Amino acid sequence: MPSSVMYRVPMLSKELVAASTVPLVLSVLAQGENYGYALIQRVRELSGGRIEWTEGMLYPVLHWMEKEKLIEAEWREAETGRRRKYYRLRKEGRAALGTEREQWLTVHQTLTNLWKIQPHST
Amino acid sequence: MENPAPFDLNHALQQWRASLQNLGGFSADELEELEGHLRESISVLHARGLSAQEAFTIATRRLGSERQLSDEFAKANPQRIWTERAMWMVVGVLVAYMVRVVFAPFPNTITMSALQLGLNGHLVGASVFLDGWFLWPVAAAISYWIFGRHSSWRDRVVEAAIRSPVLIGVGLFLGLVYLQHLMPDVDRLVSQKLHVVGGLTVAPNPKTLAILNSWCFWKNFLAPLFWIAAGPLLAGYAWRNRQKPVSGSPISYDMQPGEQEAARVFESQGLSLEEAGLVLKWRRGPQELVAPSLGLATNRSIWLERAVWMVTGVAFSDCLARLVLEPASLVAAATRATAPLLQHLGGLVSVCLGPALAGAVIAALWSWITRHPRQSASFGRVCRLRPILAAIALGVVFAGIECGQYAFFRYVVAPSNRGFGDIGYQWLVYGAELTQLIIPIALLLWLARRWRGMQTNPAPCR
Repeated sequence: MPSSVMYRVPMLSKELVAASTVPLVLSVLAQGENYGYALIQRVRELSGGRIEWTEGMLYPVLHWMEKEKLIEAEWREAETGRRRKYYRLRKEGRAALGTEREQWLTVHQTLTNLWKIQPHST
Repeated sequence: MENPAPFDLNHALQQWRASLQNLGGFSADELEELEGHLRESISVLHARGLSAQEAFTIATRRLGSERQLSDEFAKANPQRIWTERAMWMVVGVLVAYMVRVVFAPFPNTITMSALQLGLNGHLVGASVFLDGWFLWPVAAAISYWIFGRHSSWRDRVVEAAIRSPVLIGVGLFLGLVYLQHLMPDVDRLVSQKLHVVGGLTVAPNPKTLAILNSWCFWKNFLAPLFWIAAGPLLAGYAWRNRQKPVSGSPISYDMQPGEQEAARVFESQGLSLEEAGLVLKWRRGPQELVAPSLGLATNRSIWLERAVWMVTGVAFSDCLARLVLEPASLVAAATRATAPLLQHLGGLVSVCLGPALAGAVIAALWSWITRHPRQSASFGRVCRLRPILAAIALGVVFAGIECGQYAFFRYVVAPSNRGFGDIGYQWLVYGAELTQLIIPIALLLWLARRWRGMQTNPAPCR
């Protein structure tokens, strides 16, 4: 998809990126286990490049989520021959994702109503 | 590989990893995970037509600056970073102790010489007041030179301390005790020489003595204040000394006419406009753009930060001594007119009580700091951004402690309870040995071991 725009794509604010990190990680991992680099690429891809993390900052969040038992991790050998740490959703994480989903949808719905936007399905 | 520039990717990665390790806050596993990420990111960018060096630059930019990463990982695991900081604080306490012992004869000599010269009492007092201050920069410069320049010595010392802690601990203890006993001899020797040169040792007249005493009082009051203020001031300086993080800082990407198309191609391959601009600018001219992402955290700024913690350690131990150790000695003072057995008991209780209370204070503080990393970090931010304000605030708090203590001893403790008997005094001497030498040395070795254990063998990266 060649983008011919030479102006900056509106990025998400720092605060919003920080607030949405946990639900984004939970949602990506709900689709199956994954490792840090691929997880970031997935979010970048799905957001059309508008959600841009300082990539290294994801790892402290992942480790925090691991400590909170939302996700679990395992070191395995990758096809490159190096060890790679894979993350997987736990039961508690799935429950947390449900709560997050409800909260974000509430915000989304409220704003949609306020701005009188026709909700489009994508 | 279109670009034949002699760039060794493995070497660059090694340097990057070493720089992170030096900053602290990472375990070996975390470093491996980050390095794996970086390698993957580089190989993807490389496959899209960037040279290895360009890919490395862009990938490290995306990952975040070393400083940012270290700060963020430290926040996520406060135990690790605080173990390291506590270690440097204890090092500071021991170094300060050593410097005090080594420099002990000098103030005396200076005072005597000043008196012999027949200087005005206030001038002599000023020399007493100042001698404690100009010796510190000398000591700081020497230790910076030794440990900053000769990092291999430092590593060897740390290594040895971890491998045989008991041996090193006993050696350190004996060395410092020996120094303590050696210095009065040096003092005596110097006095004798002075005696030969200048005649009799001068006994100041009562008026001069009173002036000297008041200078000494202010010196004792202000010296801890100096340490307390030095912490935030040094922290502020260290903060300004830090190089600005490369990642996240916007760079100008003024495209030249022919480059719009190339930038568009890069963008379609997943590079941001900024990154495309960076690569193009770099291909156009000299390679000054690559340099900043490597070796960002210089040795100097890391040691400055360690110095901040050392100074904080000295200030903190001074506060602890006033808040806890000195009041604990009251037990020894209270029993001074009783039977010898009771005096021994009183001495023992005050020697044990002080460290026990201090331990409780430290434990409470430790659990607060490691449980609420954000609050403690915000205080650190005030110190870095508003160093003068923080120094004044801490100084006021300390002056409050000092005045409270003064009032306590002046008005609450009965005059008959001030001063110690011979037995109580002997116990307090042992107590001082315990709190100034044995406990800090043991604590240092324990912390060093714990710190190294948290890093777990830093595997050389390949």
